[in-house]
Amino acid sequence: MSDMIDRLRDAANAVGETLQPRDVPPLKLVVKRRPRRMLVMPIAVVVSAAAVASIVVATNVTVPENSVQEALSSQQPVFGAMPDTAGPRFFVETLDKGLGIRTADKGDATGSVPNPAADERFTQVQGASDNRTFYAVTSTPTCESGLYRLEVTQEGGVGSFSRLDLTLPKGTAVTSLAVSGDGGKLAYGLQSCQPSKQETRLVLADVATKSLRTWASPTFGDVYDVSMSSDARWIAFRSVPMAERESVAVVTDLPGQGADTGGDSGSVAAGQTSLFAPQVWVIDSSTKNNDLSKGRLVKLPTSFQKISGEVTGIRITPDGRSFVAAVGAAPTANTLSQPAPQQPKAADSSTTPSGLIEYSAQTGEPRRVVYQAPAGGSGGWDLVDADATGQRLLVRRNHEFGYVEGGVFHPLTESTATGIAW
Amino acid sequence: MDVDKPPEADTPVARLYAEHALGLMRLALVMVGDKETAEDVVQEAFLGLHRRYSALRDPDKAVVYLRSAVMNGARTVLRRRRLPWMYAGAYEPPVWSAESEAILGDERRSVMKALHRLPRRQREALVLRYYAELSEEETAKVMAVSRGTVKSTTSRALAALGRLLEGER
Repeated sequence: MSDMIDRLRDAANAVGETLQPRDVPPLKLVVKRRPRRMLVMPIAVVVSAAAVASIVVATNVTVPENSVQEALSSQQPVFGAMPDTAGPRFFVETLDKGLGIRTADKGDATGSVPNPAADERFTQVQGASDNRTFYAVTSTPTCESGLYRLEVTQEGGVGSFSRLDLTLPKGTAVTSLAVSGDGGKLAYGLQSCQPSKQETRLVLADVATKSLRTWASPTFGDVYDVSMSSDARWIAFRSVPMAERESVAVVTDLPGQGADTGGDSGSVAAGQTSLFAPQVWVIDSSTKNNDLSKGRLVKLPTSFQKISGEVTGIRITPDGRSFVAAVGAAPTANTLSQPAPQQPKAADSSTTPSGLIEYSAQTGEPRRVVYQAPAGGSGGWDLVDADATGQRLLVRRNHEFGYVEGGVFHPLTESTATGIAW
Repeated sequence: MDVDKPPEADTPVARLYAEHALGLMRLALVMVGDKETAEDVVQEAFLGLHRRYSALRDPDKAVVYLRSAVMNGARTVLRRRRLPWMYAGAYEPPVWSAESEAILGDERRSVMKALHRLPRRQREALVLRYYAELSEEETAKVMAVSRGTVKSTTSRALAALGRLLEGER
């Protein structure tokens, strides 16, 4: 054990010592972040990205690269997609080069769509309940986002692909996407790309009428883990409060501020609400309220039967009555954001029992364990999607994808995808 | 308090900065991996302290506050990096990555990579205990958990770190 501590100290000290006193800048007590590289981009790239209007390629298995530059489509989407009761046959993933379509059983590639432009890449994808209608989000380094619709053929090819005529506010990124059961409505979180600018919004868009409904709040941070009931009435999401976004710890001996942790006077409560916090907000889109903070906050117990840990992914079920959440060891940020090295199977960083728990969407009470990972198994699973019935749940851990159905885990495939849906 | 006003050199916050900025930047660097972000995290921690200093009943707690703010800031950064593409390319690769110009050696790179594969709480406990050299009690205050939790978390984290490194061989 002491050898491990020595190795850790040695490595961390070496990292720390790459910073020397000369690297310490003068104290600046002004909120002014340096511009990130993501905000710097030639205007020509912006223009080229914006020029990609819409593409429809009928019956082709793959959209050719050059065809993405052609604006082809005036085809109107048809909604009212019927659930695929036989279970998903395909999943769509967001890869470096574009969207990939693969069979849900063996992971065989059946079709693909290249990125719309060199600097416009797909970041997220979600599907309707028919497992043929998918929507994808693109992003550019200048924080331009686009929404696209993909129709998958019965054979897994590209039936049509087009850019939606839904304008996303400039300088904002789509943080999370959800699709209604019939594929007619989209719910997505929007966040300003400027870290110092707080403009958090949740939008419900009607794809056919192009009408938008927006919920906003100045106190909410990034909206993520957006999901919605099949009828688009209930929209669930998670968000990190502004206080933590600003990296402000709560000192309990400051009068009138923060929460009492119940600890010693003067103790410091490090941010209790994290990305993996067991809190979810629910919006009822049938009401007239347009304030995010007026949504219903549901706190979920993160210990139920033998499962405990952090909430690493959550979705509202198609009927809007329940949540299903992945609970256990949280995946580390770098394994989520970067191509992770292959993790040795035997190297399990977690001994905490993990799994999927179903909760009441009304009260947050746990209802049942949907799945419990084998004892001693690796944690860190993230719940990423569910099929039309809500019974077949797509999960991921780093590059490993699988699904849970009937309390049994089925490995699917390994993929470097940043997003995946069925 | 005017937060836009440059701080006087002899203010308590400025003195704390002179004394602790380097150590806190190094702590942030170990957590987030790149110097630019580490600098931002520490500047924001001091900004937070500056805003609240007059209300701080016990100035001795200021350093605890700063460490907590740095850990919170690092956590926020790591969380934001989870958002696909939103911040892609906005950060330099970690100083322990192969792409970095920093010369650390394979052994140290392996340890840092393994450290950053641990669950967040375990990673923070190890860094505070064995890099920042805080006592269990001090670590507990920064993490807002009990001393017992620090002890058990640290123990599990060391075991997990060992398994991760063993698995790489």
